[in-house]
Amino acid sequence: MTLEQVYQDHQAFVWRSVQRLGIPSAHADDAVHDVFLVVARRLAEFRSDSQLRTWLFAIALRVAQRYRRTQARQHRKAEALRSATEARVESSGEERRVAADLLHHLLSTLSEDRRAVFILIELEGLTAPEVAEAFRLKLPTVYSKLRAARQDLEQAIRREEARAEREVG
Amino acid sequence: MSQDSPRLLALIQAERAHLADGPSGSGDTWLKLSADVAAGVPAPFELPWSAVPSTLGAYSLVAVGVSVGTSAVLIAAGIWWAAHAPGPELPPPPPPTPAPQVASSSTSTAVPAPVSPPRPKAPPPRRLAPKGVPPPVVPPSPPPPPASTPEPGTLLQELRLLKKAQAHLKQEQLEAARLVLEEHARRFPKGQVAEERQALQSITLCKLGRPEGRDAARAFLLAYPTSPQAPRVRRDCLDE
Repeated sequence: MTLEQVYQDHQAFVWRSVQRLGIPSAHADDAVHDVFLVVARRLAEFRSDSQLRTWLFAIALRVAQRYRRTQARQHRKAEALRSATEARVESSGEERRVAADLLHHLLSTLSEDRRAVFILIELEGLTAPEVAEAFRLKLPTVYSKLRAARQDLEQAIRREEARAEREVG
Repeated sequence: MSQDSPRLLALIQAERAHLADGPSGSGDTWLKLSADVAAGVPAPFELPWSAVPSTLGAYSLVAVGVSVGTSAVLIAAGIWWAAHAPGPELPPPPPPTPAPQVASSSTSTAVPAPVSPPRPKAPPPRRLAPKGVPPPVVPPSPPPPPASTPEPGTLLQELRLLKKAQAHLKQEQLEAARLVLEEHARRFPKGQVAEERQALQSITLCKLGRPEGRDAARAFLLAYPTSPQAPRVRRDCLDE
C-alpha cells in the first residue's frame, strides 16, 4: 500500500470529511494535504487497509481541530449562516453549495464525538458496528450518539429557521 | 438506517450531491504533497500512534509539534528548510506506551488504532479517481523538457536529486554534491526546484573554494532576492 494508492483511493473521502468537520471549502485542499502528510509518515507502519478510512478520518479530525483552534471560527460561522439565510435551497449547484454550507455549519454545533459518528454513518455510509469497533465504543453508545446528533441537528435547524424568519420578517 | 426528518434528509442529500464530484484542485494538492513528502517536510502534528483510545471523546489528544500557521510556513518553505534542517528531518516516533495527553480543547477525539476490524464499506457518492489527479506513477524514462504543468513524477525526480545533493553537502562530500547538482541542471534546467538548485550550487562551489561560487551566489541573489535561501547563500558565499 503506497501513499499514491491511499491518496488516489481516499483523497475524495478526506476532502469531504475535512469540510464536514468544519474546514471551509477554500481551505479543504490544504487540509487534505496536511492529512496525507501525516499519512505519509506513518503509512509504513500501517499493515492493513482495514479500518483505513476511520484512521484517515481520525487524522482529519485532528487537522480540523487544529484549524478551528487557529482560525476565525466565528467568522466562518457567520458566513455560513449568512449564506444559509440568504438562499432558498432547490436543486442548482449553487443551492446545493448553500445547503452543504448550512449542514457543515450545523455540524459544527455538535460535540466532536456526535459529529464524528454522524458523519461516518449518515454521510459516509459506514455501519454502526464499524464505527463502534474503530473507535472502541460499545454499539449502543454509537447508536446513542447518532440519535443525539440527529436531535441536536433538528434543534439547530429549527433555531436557524427561526432566526431566518426573524431576519426576513 | 436513516431516521432523519425530511428537512435534515434534504440537507444531507444536497450536501452529498455538492461534494460528489470530489476536489477540483486535487492535482495541485498531490503535486504539493508529493513534493513535500519527497523533501521530508514534517507532518503538521505528531500522531499519537500507540495511544489507543477506549472511547470517542474519552481520550484527550494533545497537538504535538508546530501550529497550523507554523506548518503552513514550513510547507511553503518546505523543500528548502527540510533539506537544510540540522539533524533528523522528522521528529522521532511517539513512545510505545500510550500516554494519555491533555488537549487544550474541551472537545477532543481519539485517534483509532491503525490495525484490526472490518473494512468500512464504500460510501454512496465516491470517486476513486477524481479528475485532475495526475497519475502517481513515476515515469522511468528520462524526463521531457519542462512543461508549464509538470508531472508529479518529474517533480519527484527533481526532488530526489536535490535531496541527494543536500545529503552530500551535509556530509561535506562537496564534489559529489556538485556533480548531482550539475545533473539536475542538465536534466531540469528550468525545473520546479531550479531556485533551490542554484542556491545549493552556489554554496557548494563556495565551499569548494571555487571562484565562480561567489559569482553564482551574486547571480542567485539578483535573480531571487527574496528567496528564503538568500540568507544562507549570503552567509556561506559572501560572508554577509
